[in-house]
Amino acid sequence: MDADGAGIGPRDEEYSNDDENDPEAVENVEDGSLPGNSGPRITRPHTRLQQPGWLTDEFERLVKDSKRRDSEGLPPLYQQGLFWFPTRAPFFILRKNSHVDPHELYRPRFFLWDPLCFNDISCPNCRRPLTRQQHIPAPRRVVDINSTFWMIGYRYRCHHCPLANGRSVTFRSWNCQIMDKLPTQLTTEFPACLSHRSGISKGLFEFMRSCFQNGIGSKQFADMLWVQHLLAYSNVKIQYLLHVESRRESMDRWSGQKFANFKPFEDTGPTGRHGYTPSSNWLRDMYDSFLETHQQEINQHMSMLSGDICAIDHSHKVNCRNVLLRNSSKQSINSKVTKHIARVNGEQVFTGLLTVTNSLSEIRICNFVATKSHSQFVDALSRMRESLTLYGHKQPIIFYTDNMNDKQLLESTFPSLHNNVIPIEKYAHLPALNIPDDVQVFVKSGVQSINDAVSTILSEVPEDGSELVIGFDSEWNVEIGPQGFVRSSGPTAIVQMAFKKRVYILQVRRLLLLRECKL
Amino acid sequence: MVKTGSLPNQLELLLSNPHICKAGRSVNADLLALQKVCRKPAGSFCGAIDLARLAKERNIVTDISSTTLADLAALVLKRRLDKNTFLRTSESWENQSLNADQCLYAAKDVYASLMVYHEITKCYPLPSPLLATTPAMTPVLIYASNMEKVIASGTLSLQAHLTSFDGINITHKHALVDVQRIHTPGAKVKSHHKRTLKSFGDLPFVIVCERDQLRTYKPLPSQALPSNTTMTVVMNQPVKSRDSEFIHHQSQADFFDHESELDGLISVRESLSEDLSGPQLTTFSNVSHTETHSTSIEEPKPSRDQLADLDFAEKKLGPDKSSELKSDQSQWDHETHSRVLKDPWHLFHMIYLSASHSHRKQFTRELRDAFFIPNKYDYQRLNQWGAMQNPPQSYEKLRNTSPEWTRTRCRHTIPPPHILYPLVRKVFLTYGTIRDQTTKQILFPTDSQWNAARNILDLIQRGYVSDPPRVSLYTQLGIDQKSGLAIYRCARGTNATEEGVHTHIRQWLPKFGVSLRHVQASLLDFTIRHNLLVILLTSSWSFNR
Repeated sequence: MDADGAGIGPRDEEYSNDDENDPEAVENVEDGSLPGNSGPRITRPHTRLQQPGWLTDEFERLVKDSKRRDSEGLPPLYQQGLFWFPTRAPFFILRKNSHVDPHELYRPRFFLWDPLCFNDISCPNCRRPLTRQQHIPAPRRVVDINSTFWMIGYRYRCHHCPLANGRSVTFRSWNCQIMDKLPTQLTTEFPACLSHRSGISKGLFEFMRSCFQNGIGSKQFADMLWVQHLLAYSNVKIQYLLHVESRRESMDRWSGQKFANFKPFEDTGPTGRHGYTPSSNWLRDMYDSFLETHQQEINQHMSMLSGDICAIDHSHKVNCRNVLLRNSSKQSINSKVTKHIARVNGEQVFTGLLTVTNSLSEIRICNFVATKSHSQFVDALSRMRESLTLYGHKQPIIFYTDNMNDKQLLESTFPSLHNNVIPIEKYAHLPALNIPDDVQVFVKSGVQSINDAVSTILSEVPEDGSELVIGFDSEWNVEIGPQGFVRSSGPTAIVQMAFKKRVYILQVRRLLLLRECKL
Repeated sequence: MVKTGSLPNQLELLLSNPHICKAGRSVNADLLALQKVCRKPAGSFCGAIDLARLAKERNIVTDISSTTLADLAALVLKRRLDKNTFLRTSESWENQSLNADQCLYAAKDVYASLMVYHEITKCYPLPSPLLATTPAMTPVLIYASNMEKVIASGTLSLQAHLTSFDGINITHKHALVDVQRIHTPGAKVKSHHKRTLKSFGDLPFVIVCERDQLRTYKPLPSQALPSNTTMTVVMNQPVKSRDSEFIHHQSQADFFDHESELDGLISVRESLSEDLSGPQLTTFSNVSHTETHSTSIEEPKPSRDQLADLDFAEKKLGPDKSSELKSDQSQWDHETHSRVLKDPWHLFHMIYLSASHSHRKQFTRELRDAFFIPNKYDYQRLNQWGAMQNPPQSYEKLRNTSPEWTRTRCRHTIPPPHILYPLVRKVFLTYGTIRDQTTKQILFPTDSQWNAARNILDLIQRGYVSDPPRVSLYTQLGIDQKSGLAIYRCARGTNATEEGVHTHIRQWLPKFGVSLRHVQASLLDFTIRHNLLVILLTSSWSFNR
């Protein structure tokens, strides 16, 4: 039913008086308040639908009404402090009239959007003021929680921009470039989230976000929405049928009055309801592009949180079932990680979800990890360390983990975790080994002093060829990789020797370096 | 640039002098590295004595590669050599001047090497062939027939006069040995018709050996046969029982029902959130927290079965390492042992128990009380408030009946490792083998519980569980209007009161096959939603609703 992205009922683009067919204007930019989001754009050669008369009649009436402007340029609706045209309830319609056609009860809600009344708006291209040209010839449909409302908009023209293809440059009043220029107090009143052709109300969109966050999928949500619309429509139908019944029982029984059928929700005839709800794909697409547009802000918000006591968690269970890719997106990502994959219904792409929370339980990092290797989240942790410094927070002092194997990785990413740590030694019960007072420790660095020191040992080599034993050790610099393994070890830096009651620490690295440089 | 650096000539002389033996751990590698820097031909620097090899030849250790200098210092010198990993792996050894810590570290290492060498050569002679006069009870090593590998160790038997044993004629070439430790369970004993050592059953047992394959040696003082010289770090993965003792007891474990119903299992973590009140059932050693010594069992006199159970539990839990921790248990420890800590709630998730076991709740209570010590002030406040209630309440009652409520109103501390370890070990010992009153099944019926218990003890011993000193984990959120008690938020691990995000995130993500794009968008949405709401969720306001 909705596999091709269409919803239930006629799509917007099927109306012949669609904005696209408006011959008078050229839109410079794609419409819609969410850039980058293009709804289902299916070009169909077949004849487009007419918007029904009950809608267009009301639309024309309201447009005409709105032409009467006062001295400030406000239409009567705005003078009353309203954005929404008042709608008569079916009850009053049925009460007044003995004979009512079903479509009279549809009572479409209209919203008037003409922000040029309140603000001068400059042309997004040339920054010179725009003027109102005329209303947009068809109302724009927006799907709400259990009904549909329609927006009346205006076309704003720039007289200064050069003509494109012989047409003047105009903008619809809900164009996102226009919306960007308006003060937030005003745009908050705008009730819709628009895609290229369709739109849903802001209230419905935010409700959808909550639904998604509580585990209701887009399919389920699309179904809920459809049912809500049907339910509201059925309630009107009941009102109508009860009215018809009461009329029949009274005088109409003799007059032979006929009553029209209440048409199905999706009927697209001239008196049909033209009921429509968007598909799950379209809804999900709206959701995804909304969050993609706000990704920067969300990440910024996260980066500014503190992190002195943190907890890191890898959930491996989360996505085994959840992240099963389908169709096109599958191939691109699959190819990289096929090794890890063995699933029945689809393929597992991520092996884990990494979350870091701070002491207030705020999420500091929330990332999918595609492979088991740690390098994946080393980046995330390093970014966290940098942002803590950037925003003046303390570096972590404690890190809780569900997997102690992270210890070295965390300690190497956050050096603050080393501060004043006395690890429990394996042999904590034994007394510490200390160098007795009668043993002398010498640190030698120059060639001469090393030679002098070593010759004191050489001089004690027995003449008879028997052996002499010294304690021997050396140290070198070690670079620890992010996973806690030794990444590289440098050349010998110091050599230590113990003999009798003397310990020599010989700094040989510098000598070796000196000679290297001479060459 | 060509690296042709050279060392001071006296130093080179010393390094290439075969009569000067360089004793240390992995000296060969040290010499090779120097040789390479100086571009000397292979074998120029010689005279290396690897202390681990030296120790292995004398059967002080069994494995060369896993033996560190610190192990040898502990075994031979009975001293702790602090290996500060941060210093050891630092990048400052090339600095012009070394700081005092570095010097001390470098000096200790080499001094310890020399001392270990002297001690080994002085006290542990190389294993030597048997003499005709070698007396009974002399410790001996049994080698494989190629004499390269020690397969077992024991003592010469007192029954030397026997002429035949187990159907084998004992000639002057043979000796009877009481085997006390098996090194290679799969090794075959030629004189016993190639039976494997494993097949002889429980230690100790007597076998006939060829005298050629025996060597006398000096064993380490018995107490210092720590399994941790060969033990590798085991964390979050099933413990493989390496010691032969464990292999022997596997069969005993088979006795218990392995196929315990999986759906009837509940983790200790889950138990901690439910009503834990219940009758105090008797255990053969009623645990009391005033006791300091963990393994001593007092009245009532345990029966033989109970002793066997205890013995079994001891073996399952592995060696008691409390002796390796600080001994003074009255002394609180103010050292930070690690700033990366195990999430305690996750720790409690490691053990799954049968939900219907009659002692499960009691075990959970005991375990909880070993871990969480109430703050004195909060404890008193809670009791003062409780005394005024009808019926009267107390901290002891409330923590069982309303664990979550109590946790937000009373701060707790997880004590330092040397105090926590013995307490927890004792709880495991007491309850691991406790039997259900009706089914008679023990509380830890399978290896998975025992392994979890062992891992938990290991984490505690390393100091990964105890609260860090001088870090304030609690924040007061406000005052509970009903009780007048302070309400706290705790930063320990994932927040206990709020269950943390980690467990929630699962149910908030889309359930079925969806696009990657959508999952990522949902995750982003989850994050911002959570971060904006969390302040509301954890504020005192939410407790006063």
